[in-house]
Amino acid sequence: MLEMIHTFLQSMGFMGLSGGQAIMIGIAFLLFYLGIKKGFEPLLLIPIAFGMFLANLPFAGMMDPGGGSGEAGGLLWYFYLGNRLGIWPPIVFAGIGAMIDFGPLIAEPKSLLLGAAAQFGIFATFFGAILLGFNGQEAGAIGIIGGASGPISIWLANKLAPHLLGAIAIAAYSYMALVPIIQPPIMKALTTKKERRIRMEQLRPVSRTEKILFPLMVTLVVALIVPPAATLIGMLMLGNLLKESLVVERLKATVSNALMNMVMLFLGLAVGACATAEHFLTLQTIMIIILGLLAFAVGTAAGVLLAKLMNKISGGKVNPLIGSAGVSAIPMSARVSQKLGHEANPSNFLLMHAMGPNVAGAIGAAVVAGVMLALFG
Amino acid sequence: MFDKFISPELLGRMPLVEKISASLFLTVLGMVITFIILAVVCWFTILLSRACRKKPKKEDFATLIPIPGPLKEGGREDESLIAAVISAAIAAGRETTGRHLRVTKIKRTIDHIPQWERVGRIEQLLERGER
Repeated sequence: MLEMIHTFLQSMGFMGLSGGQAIMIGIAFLLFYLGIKKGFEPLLLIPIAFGMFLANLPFAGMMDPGGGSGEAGGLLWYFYLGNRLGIWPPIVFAGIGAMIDFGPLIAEPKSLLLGAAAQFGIFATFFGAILLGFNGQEAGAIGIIGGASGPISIWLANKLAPHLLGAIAIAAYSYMALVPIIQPPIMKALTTKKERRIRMEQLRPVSRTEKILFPLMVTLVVALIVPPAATLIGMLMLGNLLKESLVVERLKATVSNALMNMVMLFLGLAVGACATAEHFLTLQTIMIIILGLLAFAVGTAAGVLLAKLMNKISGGKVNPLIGSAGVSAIPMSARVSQKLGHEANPSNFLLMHAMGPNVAGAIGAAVVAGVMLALFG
Repeated sequence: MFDKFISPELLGRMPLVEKISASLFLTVLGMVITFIILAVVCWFTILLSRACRKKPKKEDFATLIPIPGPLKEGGREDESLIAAVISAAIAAGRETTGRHLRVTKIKRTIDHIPQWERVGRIEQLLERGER
């Protein structure tokens, strides 16, 4: 009898709770606080935090891979397989595509260059990560945090450095939520009030034909130049084509709502489940968090500087604030441009102009992910 | 060089100067490739727009809506109400009264304001409302 009680007590989670796991559960609760109370990316932060919480419970076996003889593994392991096999992030990207309007980008194709400039944050961070001792694959996976796209960060981290997935995903989503705090000081420091007051000309209307052909053209061009980017670009553009074709409303509604929400839940849980104490509580995680911030800051600065250059070339027709929107983070960074422009000049409407570089940033980040995979995959 | 970057051992053995120069080279290479790809997409987008843009017909820009006699109420958009609002706005702009003003016709134009601008305006109006 005593032996049974002893066995039961030994099987309790309390007996196996390590200091590291306790810290991770504490971090999960902090993320719950940020998601629920502060409203920072709650759709992702809450599943991630819950996955982290569950994966760090001792003896729960939520991330057990299961036996080779058909023995079932932990539930989170199967969600994680969707990440490891690269299934969830492209599906989320299709959902994003079904919600994006490429109209402002088609009306002003030069925005693509601003989307490219903002990717400098990725490569600057890559450089920094190499100097800090990460290898090429790890540095590429860390740098992509600067692409400000959670699905891309997760997708590339899985391909290049799966052991860093938890830290990279959490850094990416945390900084995306912090875009309204990170970007404004950099934007203000690099622009004068006169530049921020610049009113931009109204964009031309874009025809339905252009909107239908654009996703097909981008997929073809990008996939032929950088084949590894075909998965992400293809799914992004599939979602957009469903939206713009106007003939498959049910599919568009499913991809942008039900399917995306389901997959985001699985993806979030799986990402959180990767953040176990032994993988997360390391010096590398701290370095990734610092490098992630660098990636966002450099990307924002590069976008603003190129927009300033375009402003000079165009004779004062481009408000440099729209350059920062090249750091994807749809639509937060475009909103930041709108907000700062509106503060400088209350009659200024920069939102639609900023949406061009913003969606270009999503294309740019997917292209860079493909480039990284081509170089280090 | 890529082999060295993939292997932690080989990368660790690289002298610092070589490591810095090689990673700078990769940084520049990556940025150049990204710029070239997006510039190509930009160029194709311009070509696509040129191919798709057709000369708009006159009716696309504006449709003349003659308003013969007294305006009827309860139309598709209650046109009498719209006419009254426009008349009031003109009167206010000219600092006169409705008695000195006679609206004979109203020209309806197609709304070319992009969706993003509309969203921006609505956001701004809502912000003002909150204040």
